[in-house]
Amino acid sequence: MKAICFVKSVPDTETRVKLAGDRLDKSEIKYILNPYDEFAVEEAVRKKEAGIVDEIVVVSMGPARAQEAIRSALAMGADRGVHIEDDSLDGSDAYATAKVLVEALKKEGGLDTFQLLMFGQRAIDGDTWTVPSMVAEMLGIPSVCNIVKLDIDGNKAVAVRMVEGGEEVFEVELPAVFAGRKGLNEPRYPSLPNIMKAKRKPINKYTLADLGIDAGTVGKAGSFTEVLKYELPPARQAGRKVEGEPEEVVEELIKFLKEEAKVL
Amino acid sequence: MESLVILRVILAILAVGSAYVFVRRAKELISYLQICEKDPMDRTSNRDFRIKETLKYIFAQICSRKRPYTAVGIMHTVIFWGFMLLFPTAVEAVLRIIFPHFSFAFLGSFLYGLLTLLQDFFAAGVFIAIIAALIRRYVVKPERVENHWDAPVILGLIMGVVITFFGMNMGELRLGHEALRPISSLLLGIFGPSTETGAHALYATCWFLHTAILLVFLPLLLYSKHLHIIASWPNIYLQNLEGFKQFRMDFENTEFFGVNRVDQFSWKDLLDTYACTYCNRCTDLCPANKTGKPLKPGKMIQDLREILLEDAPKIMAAMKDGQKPSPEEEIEGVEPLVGRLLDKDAIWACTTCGACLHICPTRNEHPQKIIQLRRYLALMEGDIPEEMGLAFRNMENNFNPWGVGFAARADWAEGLDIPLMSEKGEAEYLLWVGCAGAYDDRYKKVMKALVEILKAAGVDFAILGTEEKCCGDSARRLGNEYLFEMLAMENVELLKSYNVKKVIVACPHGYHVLKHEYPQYGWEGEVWHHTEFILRLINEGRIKLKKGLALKTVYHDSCYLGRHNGIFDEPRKVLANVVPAEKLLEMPRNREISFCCGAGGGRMWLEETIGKRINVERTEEAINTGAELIVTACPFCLTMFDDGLKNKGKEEEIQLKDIAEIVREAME
Repeated sequence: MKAICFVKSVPDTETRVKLAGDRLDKSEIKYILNPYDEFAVEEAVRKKEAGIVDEIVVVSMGPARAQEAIRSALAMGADRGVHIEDDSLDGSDAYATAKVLVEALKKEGGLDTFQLLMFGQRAIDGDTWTVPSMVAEMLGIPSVCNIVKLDIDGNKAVAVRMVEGGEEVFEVELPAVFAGRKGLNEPRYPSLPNIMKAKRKPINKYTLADLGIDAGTVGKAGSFTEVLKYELPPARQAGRKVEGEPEEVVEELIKFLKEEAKVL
Repeated sequence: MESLVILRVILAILAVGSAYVFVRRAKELISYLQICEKDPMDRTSNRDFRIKETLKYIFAQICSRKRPYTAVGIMHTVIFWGFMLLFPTAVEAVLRIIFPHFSFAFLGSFLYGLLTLLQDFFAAGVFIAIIAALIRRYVVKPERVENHWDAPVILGLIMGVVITFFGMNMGELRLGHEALRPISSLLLGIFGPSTETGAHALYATCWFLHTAILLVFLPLLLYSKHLHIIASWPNIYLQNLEGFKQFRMDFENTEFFGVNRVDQFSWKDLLDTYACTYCNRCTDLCPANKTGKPLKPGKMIQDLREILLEDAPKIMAAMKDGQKPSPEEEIEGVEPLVGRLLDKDAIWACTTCGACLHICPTRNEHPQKIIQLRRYLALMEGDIPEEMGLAFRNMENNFNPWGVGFAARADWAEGLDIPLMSEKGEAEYLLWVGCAGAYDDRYKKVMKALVEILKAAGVDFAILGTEEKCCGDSARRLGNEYLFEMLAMENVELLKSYNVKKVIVACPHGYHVLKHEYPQYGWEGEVWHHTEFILRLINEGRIKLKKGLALKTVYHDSCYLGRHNGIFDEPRKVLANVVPAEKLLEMPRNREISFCCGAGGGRMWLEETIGKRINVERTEEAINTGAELIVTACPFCLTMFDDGLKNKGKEEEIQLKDIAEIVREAME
């Protein structure tokens, strides 16, 4: 069985977001492999170590820096990479992205080749949570998202999904899409020999033309949504301390809640 | 006299056998060292100093009398000197196998008289010291003393040597050989023998036994912990004179990193194991061991020796054309070191505080070996505790172990009007802020105090702002040399680009790395710890302090400032300018035997789940002095005491400050 992991290069969680006008200022951003994708890659590697999976391919769509994210996944134990890079992809929303990922999958052999399609539950930058399900829908296969456990037995998989106040257990037939979250596993810290080896692992590069995609069907033109502008959240105001005897404090607090905060 | 001939023949055979076994074993021991790796340190330059150190350690025995082991050290000093003085008698005894009347009396009555006089007193001293040693070993039984077969055997043999020494002397004195031997004469007066025949018999018996014991003793040295009698000489001569540091790795041409098989250690690492005296003072002072972690540095050295003796012949047998088997190759009967020499819990328990390094009488290097095992786990296996992986990622992505965004590194300085190197171009001093100064809310206040001191003194300085990166100390001590190298190279490039020559550092870890380890990457300069620099400012009259801080104050020595860099006096002198002498207290474990706060060696970033928390142990010690103010000079120590005081519910009662804050508050 072969596994394919879809990953994304995203700004580090600690990035101080700066704006240039109403656009993102990307000049000082440090990019990392999307932390949720690490769960996906780790799970695939564990399945390989358990002898269930025999090859792991890592796919990423994005600018040149996406290669670093692919290398990080290769250092964790994936076998080879696929990088889709094309200027026309700029502005793609979740739907357009899913379309491109599906074409890349087909280019690499499609569902005849890959039975295990792994995602992180969400990317920490766009935060749409939707790409895994869209890919599954486009391929007409099942998807189980937010999983914390994945057992594979033959062409069946049992996945445990976190829901409000409990768990859901699904049995699905492969091929299927799974999106992992915290709790699925503990992603490894790659060893140095594996980091070195990752530098020599092959990465196939595709443009839209290679995938046979018309530029007009992706990017801004092929997207249902468009980012109009970015805004920073309002700066945090200093708190106000209410002092005095309990009765006075309560009175003042109620007054504040009624008159200023207007929540009562 | 015929019986003497028989005895001489027996001893001659014994002597040949003894020499044969000795030489064979010595060759074996040396050949084991030869299959080990090269040692990265320069261990031969500075010859005169090395000779002086060796003499100081061996003849003056300063090694064995370091506190808190002064009493048992005196015992050892007496045994050592008794041994040295009895050596000429040993030579006489052995040579008498061939020349029955050989004696050093030809040295002249003064020299020989002095020798015999000293011998008598020291032999008596050894007798008493051996009894003391036996009582200590089998009655008092200090925890650190582990009784192997060899201790009683060797002590018994030494006892035999001393008793037969007196017996020979008594016999000879009775037979009219005059010698200045007051104690032997006294014993002769008490115990006889009265007849000449008896004297002959006593002499012959004692000489035979004395010589026989020596001939058994000689090869036995190489099979017991008393190998230290021989191996400590080269080990002390070849000791590390460069201070505690790790060495660069060749990432380009090597594919194996760290150590997991005995021959991957350097030959000097293994010579250490030959020199070990099994005194276990290292274990006794080890903060990890003291608080119930499964790390015993002494046992590690001793087990490493056992492993070498066991594995080396198998590794040698597996060699082809003089080439050692590759690290991946399985060698029958040779198991990996991780889990065998030390368990992972023990490997991660070391704080690299260096108490073991300080106390070791034969200058063994323990933490360096542990870090080699860590390198294997971190680099080859990626087998590290979860929280350590997080710290590594933080250092990789945001260049600080806390993981706060790198763009926020200069936020602490906002509004303080501190010049940036990138704006100013150059300054006499670079203030190396360090991750704690930049990100730790408590330490930011210390940094602010330090900045105010520097400004008040008119020091020309600047900071690197967001260009500065983690110095890499924690990464290096935790074995992630690859990460350390990336950080070190980038920092060194930066230091060079601003042509930095002088640096002030508040964190002893950054201080240590910049001073001792960045030269490996091509940057060298004057590095000042803030306590050193503040003292200089006081001495030069550039800051004036009000004396009279009326709080009972105790100073805690940071390991990387004190033991690793010898800065014990500077902080105390600074404090003496602020706190009246009668208010200055000391903890029982101070200066070079200071007890670690628990955060060194990268332990700052790891959970401490086994045994008692080290910082709690140390905080209790500080509280027990009755101090109202605890002073530190290291951000890690400050954090650990902060936690410790909270753990003991004393954070309201006892103040905790960095020395820079004390000085800032005392400035006029």
